[in-house]
Amino acid sequence: MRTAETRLLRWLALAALLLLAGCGAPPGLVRPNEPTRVARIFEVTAPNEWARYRFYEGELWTIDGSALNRLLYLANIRDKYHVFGAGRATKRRPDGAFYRTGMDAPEIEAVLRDAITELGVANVRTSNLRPLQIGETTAFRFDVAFDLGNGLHYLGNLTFFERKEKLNLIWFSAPAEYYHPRDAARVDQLLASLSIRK
Amino acid sequence: MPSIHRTLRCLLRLLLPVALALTLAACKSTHVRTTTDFKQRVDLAGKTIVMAEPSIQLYEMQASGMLEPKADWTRLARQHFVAAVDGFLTRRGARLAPTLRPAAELPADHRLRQLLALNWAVMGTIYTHSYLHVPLPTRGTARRKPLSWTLGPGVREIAERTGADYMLTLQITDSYSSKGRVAMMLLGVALQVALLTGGQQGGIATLVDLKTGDVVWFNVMTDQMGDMRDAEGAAATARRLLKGLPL
Amino acid sequence: MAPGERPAEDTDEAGLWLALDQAELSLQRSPLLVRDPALNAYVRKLVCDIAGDYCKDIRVYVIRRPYFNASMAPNGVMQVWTGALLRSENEAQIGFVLGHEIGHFTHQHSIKQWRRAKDIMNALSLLQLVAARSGTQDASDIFDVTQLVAYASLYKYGRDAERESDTEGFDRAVRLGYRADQGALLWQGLLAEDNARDRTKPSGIFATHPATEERMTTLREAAEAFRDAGTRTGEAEFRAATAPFFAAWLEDEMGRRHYPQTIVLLDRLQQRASGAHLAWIEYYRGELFRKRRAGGDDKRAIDAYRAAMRVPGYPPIAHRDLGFMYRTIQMPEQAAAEWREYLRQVPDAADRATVEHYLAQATGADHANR
Repeated sequence: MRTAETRLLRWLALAALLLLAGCGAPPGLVRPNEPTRVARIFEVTAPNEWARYRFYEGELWTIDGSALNRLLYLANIRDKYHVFGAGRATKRRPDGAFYRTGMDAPEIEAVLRDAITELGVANVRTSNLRPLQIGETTAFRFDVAFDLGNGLHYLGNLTFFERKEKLNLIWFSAPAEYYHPRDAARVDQLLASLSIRK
Repeated sequence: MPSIHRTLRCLLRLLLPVALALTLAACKSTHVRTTTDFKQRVDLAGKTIVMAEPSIQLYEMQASGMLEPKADWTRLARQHFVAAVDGFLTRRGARLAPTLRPAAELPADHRLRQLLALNWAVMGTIYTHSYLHVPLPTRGTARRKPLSWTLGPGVREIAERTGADYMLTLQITDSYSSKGRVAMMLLGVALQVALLTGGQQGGIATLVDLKTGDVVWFNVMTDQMGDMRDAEGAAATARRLLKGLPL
Repeated sequence: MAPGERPAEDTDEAGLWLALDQAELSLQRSPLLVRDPALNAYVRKLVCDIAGDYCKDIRVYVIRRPYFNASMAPNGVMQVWTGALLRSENEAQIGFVLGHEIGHFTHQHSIKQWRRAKDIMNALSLLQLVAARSGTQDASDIFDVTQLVAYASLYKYGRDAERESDTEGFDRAVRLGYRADQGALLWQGLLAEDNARDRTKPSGIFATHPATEERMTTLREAAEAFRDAGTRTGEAEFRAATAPFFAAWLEDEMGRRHYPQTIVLLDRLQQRASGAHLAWIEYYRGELFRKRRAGGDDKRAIDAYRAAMRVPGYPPIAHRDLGFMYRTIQMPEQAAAEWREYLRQVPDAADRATVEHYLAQATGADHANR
């Protein structure tokens, strides 16, 4: 079990570096009050500036650094694939945190909760799963809390929806101390502006 | 999975510049950035400064490359370094308050623990963006935005507990090698150590204003330090690390 | 040197102690530390009863991790993971494990080992590993938990040391009147679970002390020698102390997503379960089959949820999830009935809007069919 966790952790550390370095495209700036396309699926209008790092099928946005506030957009997660891109379901590995087309919302919530735990954080709690209508798409949102190893407590929420039999998600997280209280309303405003490409 | 392959390929491209950045960083000596680069200076004379949870450990590197923790060296370094910081500040009209060490029983969700944990996250962020120069488009001189970071006004909790005006946090990983024997010191066990370890020498220090939570000064040091096992060496290290402190 | 004493400052052991102290500090701050006072008091008392005079030298930490582990570092830090508590059925079982670890401590096996230069090097390489790890991610302290386990795994004693500790573990447990056969029973269960894993992966449930046939046989033989010595299992006390956490620990176990092992565990726990425990076991069995989606799992899941509902005081969420099982196999009417029952039992459910959404969908589909 330690090997698996170490591997995942290493993957995450590298991914974090990767995101920060903005591999693939130079990091950009999201200008306030301008509709912004993300990963060809999402469109949002942010009330404030964000730094954006693009990568394959997703983006990471942050204001002050990804440990302090972060919006993670992931698009087009396919049937039988790990929700955070850590491989796919195989005969030898049938039971990971894999997305399956047609999963009900509570089960997707559980898959995401387990996947977040795998990232190496503790006490992952999800709550308050609710449906939202975004254009013609039914999306769901739930609240997420977790702790880093040093105890730093994070709050946030995760919005997800299925589109063309694939899963798409937006995960906001920020430390409960100072950053989440400061940024939550602006993120709510951003999420309220969300529209989904048909 | 295509995204994984893409990621790996991307990663290979990425590792080169990172290695390069680390090498370049290692060539530089002390690297001081303060908000004074962008804002006004702060006067620390007559102010009280508290060190948060310094944890110093000295290791001896065996010929095999194994790091052996040294209890006696560590005790000496702990004494000497705190004394050296104290002396440094006193000579400049500031005062060092007793070191902040929250009780072990304090639960992880206690405000004090949360503030100190956030402090580490902020130090890691500063290290990443200001020192490793990972671009952060919302900040940076190009956009004439100050390189400012904050812990928020919650830090007043620390001010009330300690009576201090500023909080000093330090982390140093230094290796000075002499014939295969290298001692490494970890101080303030802050953050993202991996960025500093692996042969990387250096230290990072931040000073936080306990009224506003703003990081008013930080220093990343990459040159060699003195021998922390004696008073003189510890003083030299303190001087170098605290160089540029807005006094 | 007796347990609790510290080595002289200029020795290599002192350096290790220093590192251990640092690791303990991280443990005290770890978000994985279970702070519930009643549970801590219970585990602590159990350890103290078994440890006797050494109680004062041992500091017990209950850690929230769904794997089987109880371990003791030479500085007196004992970790008991919730996965070990979930897998134990009574005091005699967990007591045997604790007694074994205390046996290592009182015999100072680790110190004997560390005196040998080679092992000191091993210990240090672990340290270094940990130093490197703690930086890789913010999750450092989570790995500080395993760090101390890594130290404990230095107890790679020879068979003599293992036997010595087993004997002492038996001795201590039997002196308290516990049945001696429970250790072997626990080990048998763990072995079955371990055998259910994919052999290409590292052991799923063990952090240290892997279970082997040989070891189990030895344990059983050792138990024979103590037969009829004790009669107590402490099952009622153990149940009472752990009952409030049972469902949460099962939830953590499910989160591992190693279903073949979890099935073995659920089957074993079910043999002696009753009341709320039984309902939770059946509910999670339903969850497991619903999530696994192997051939025939839909029927197994439905049977399990139904079995849970036959237990008075079962969790109402069984209705919600049985409803989703029916939805997956396209039985909207049955799904709707379960969701209605769920909302009837929990009118102010936090996920009410979600369930109502699916309910509307199911009944809408119903109309369309007519």
